[in-house]
Amino acid sequence: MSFLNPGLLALAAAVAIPVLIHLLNRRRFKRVTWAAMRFVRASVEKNRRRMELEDLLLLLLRCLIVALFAVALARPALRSAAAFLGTGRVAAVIVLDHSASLAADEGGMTRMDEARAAAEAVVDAYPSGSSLAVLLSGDRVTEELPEPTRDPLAVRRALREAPLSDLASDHAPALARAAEILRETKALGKEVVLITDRQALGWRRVSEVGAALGAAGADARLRVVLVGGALDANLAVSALTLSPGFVSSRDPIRLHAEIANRGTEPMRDVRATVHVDRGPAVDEAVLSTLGAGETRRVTFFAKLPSAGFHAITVKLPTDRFPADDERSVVVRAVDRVQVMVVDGDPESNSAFFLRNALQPVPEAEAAAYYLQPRVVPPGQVALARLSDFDAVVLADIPALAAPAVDALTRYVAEGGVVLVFPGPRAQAAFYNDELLKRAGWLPAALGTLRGQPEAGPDEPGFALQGPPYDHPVFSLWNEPGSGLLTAARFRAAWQLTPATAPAIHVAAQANATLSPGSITNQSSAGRVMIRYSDGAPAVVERELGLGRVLMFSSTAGTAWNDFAVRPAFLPLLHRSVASTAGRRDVRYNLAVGDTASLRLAAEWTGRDVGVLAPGEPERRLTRTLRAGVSGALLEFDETSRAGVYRVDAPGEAAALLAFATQLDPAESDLTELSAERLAELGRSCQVVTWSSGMDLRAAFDRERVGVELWLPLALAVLLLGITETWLAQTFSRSK
Amino acid sequence: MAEPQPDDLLDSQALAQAEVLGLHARQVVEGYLAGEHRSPFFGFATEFAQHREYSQGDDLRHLDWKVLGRTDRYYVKQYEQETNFVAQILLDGSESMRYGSGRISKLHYGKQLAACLTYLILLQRDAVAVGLFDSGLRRYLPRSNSRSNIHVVMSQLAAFEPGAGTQIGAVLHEMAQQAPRRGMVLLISDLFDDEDRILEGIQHLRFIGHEVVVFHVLDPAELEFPFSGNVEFVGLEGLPAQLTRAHEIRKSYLTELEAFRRRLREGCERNQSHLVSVNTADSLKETLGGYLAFRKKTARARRGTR
Repeated sequence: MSFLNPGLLALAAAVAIPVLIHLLNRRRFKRVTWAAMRFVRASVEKNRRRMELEDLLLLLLRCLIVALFAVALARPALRSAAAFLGTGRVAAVIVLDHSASLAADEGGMTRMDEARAAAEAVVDAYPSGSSLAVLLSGDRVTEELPEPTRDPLAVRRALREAPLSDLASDHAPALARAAEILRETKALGKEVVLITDRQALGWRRVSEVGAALGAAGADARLRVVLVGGALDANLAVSALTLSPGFVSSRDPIRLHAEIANRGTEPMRDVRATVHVDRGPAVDEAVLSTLGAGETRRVTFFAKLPSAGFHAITVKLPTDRFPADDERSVVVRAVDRVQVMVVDGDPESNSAFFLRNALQPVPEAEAAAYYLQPRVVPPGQVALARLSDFDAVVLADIPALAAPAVDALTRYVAEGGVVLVFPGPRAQAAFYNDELLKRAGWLPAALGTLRGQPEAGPDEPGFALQGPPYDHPVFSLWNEPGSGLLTAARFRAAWQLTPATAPAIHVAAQANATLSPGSITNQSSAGRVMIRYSDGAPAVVERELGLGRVLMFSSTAGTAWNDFAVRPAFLPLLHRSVASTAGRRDVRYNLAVGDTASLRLAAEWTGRDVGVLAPGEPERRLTRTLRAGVSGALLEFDETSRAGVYRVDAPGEAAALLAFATQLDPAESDLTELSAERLAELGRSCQVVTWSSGMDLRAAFDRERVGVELWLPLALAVLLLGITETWLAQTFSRSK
Repeated sequence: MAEPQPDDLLDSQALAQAEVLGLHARQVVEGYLAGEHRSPFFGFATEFAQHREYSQGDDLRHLDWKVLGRTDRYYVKQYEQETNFVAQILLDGSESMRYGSGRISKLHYGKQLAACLTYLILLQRDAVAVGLFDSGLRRYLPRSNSRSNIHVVMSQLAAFEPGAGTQIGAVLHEMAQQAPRRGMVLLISDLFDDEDRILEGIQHLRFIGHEVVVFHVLDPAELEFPFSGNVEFVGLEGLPAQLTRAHEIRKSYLTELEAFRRRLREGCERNQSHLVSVNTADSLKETLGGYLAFRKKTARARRGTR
């Protein structure tokens, strides 16, 4: 119970008036000299008790009427204590959804336009003196005005200029942040206003939303303003990926796209086209029918005109939700792949087999071959410029010096690829302590040596597992014509125990120039790519940051096995390098909102570059490159729009870099909140459906103060007044 | 309220009507005078009874000159059976009779009524005695049948001041002892006293053989209780004040009053006495005329039955 006009409660003191009148009335009387006293006395005695009760009842009624009248004037309402201040100042966080679904066309204007208008109406809905903060909501939070301000102009400006993004809808992060802001704000009335469309996707983590608001304090209330209507038809390019392999300008590249019908009606003659660098279509596909809710995978081919960065875009005809009508990837066509082979044991033949397998061409053609292996001793690792190599192969390395380990760690974290072939001289302690525990990128711990290294060729040893193979690197051997992996015989191999718990990369601690947030330094657990026939891990992979490490359990030469002389060795090595080297393009293809961390040559350190965001050719954001582990590092986090971002520099004719961000495929699902979920939502917060010109203040006030009770109280006063009049007349009748 | 003058007490209209109608004793009255009054007794006209000290208003003809000559004191001779019809008029002079909501109080009305009755009785050559009482018999004018005595009666009535309490029953018993011969007792009072004692007194008078007529004088305010709002009733005769909302107890008051009057009426009927309700708002003409007409009609009815 609270009161909108609490000061008027003082009128309840007027309850003394009926009492005073009652007492004064007893002092006001007419005096009559009377003879027939005996009858008067008898009558009074007979009626005394009744008259006293009637007096008391009327007095109570009159007091009650006065008290209720005073309470009614004070406008009581059933609401939390925050409303005790009535329409007083409120601290509120306006959370404006600017996710991709807000781009949907609502007949001449987008949902975002409606949301901005609704947001301004929300500002109008708060009384002067209220402090407002503004957050933009998506699966990442943009803090436009993180500190609640009492400057409505600043709030309006922030809302009016709020950009549309291609982020996925997820209200949980923004609401959690809003709750944090309110928790740090001193105010009796705390509110969060979320302005969003009806997309159900944003509420998928509704429990976290509730928990976040609960953490903001008991007084924090959530209001949801819904904009936009229904969208029945929507075609989307829900995914676009490159087929594994080297990307070069010599051969067409293969792309896989997923075309989805997220509407409620089947679509016919859906035409999808492929464009390179936004040029004319280089390939197309027409889907004669695409059922409602159906997703179909389509393969395209595109030939890149030259080496370097290229954007490949798959487009669909534009519909009311254009954000998912096209999807782009950036590829870097390379004509040569540099591979460093670190030969740890010159007495072994691992490096020989590796070099020849990587470059299986005559000496005369070696220079023109796209794979360029370079064999170096372990001491060269720390001295070499690792950023010049696409992959590093560690063959029979007993141990490495700490600088070399650190250099490799940073190399992997920034997207490098390392293949590890531990040989007979491998020091398990170094591998386990330095590479696994300290550096955190070794996929597995070295255990005991399995098999008999000194056994002769006739020793059967053990073999790799047979098909089927799940990993893409080995999927080739699922086809019988590709030969057999099981033909190779292994006499000895290290017992590998895949790393289990993800470890925190310590490179940031080792090198202060690498800020912790500059790259993704989370490592995954070790994952077995293939096993021996007895179930022991044969090859284990692990990711660290943007890089990947493949760890084999046996040698690359013939010391412990005959795999190097088997036909499968060469394609396996090529696929391993290609798959991991292809992964480097992942750095150029991000999800919307991700931070791009890109490497340039070291001479770019300290220079300014410009970043052109998709769809905003006039907006060029300047960034200064800083020193990275193996070159200059560009970090760019304003990636809220999907599409191709180009990085250029003054004086450079071509783009230095390019990267693409892709819309979360789930965002294409514009399914609305069901009536049941809306009703459920309405039980925990206020839900207002916005319409143009709507007065939100009335709606907010009504909810803020709860149910006003003045009307029933006024009716009660009236009823009591009538009752009092009737009783007074009845009581005053002669008896 | 102005003090009434002797002449004010006689209502000329009332007297004119009363003369026409006459006063007919309903019962057989002892007396010598043969006339309209039937008497069962025959004998001497007058008979000395006793001496009494002269008081103002006494007829000088009854002054005992011999005693005056011998003792230089004024005594009048009183005779028994001076007349054939003696009416004892008893006027209540208690404090409660002083009440009057209008121009006239119950006492004033009672005085007028007593004066009219006296005049009427004397006009018929009957004897009348007047007693004024409150808690006791305060003044008593002996019986007389002389018309010239009317002025004495008027003067006594006019000069009478009300006393404090009232004890009607005791006074009636005293009257019964003072007037042992049968006659007529006319009691003028509001009867605000213990009705049982009153009825006992009436019963005593009736036992002796008196015809008792009770003029129950009430003020219209006492009959209607027209008050409203908070009223403090200040009791006459020393009763404590009572504050109440008058309009709320009116019904109860009237019920109480009516019960009181009913008990009196029934008591009088039991004693073969006549209770005349007198409203001081009514004129004396109406009051006397109505009562005497009633008496005449009932007297004829009685004679018709014999």
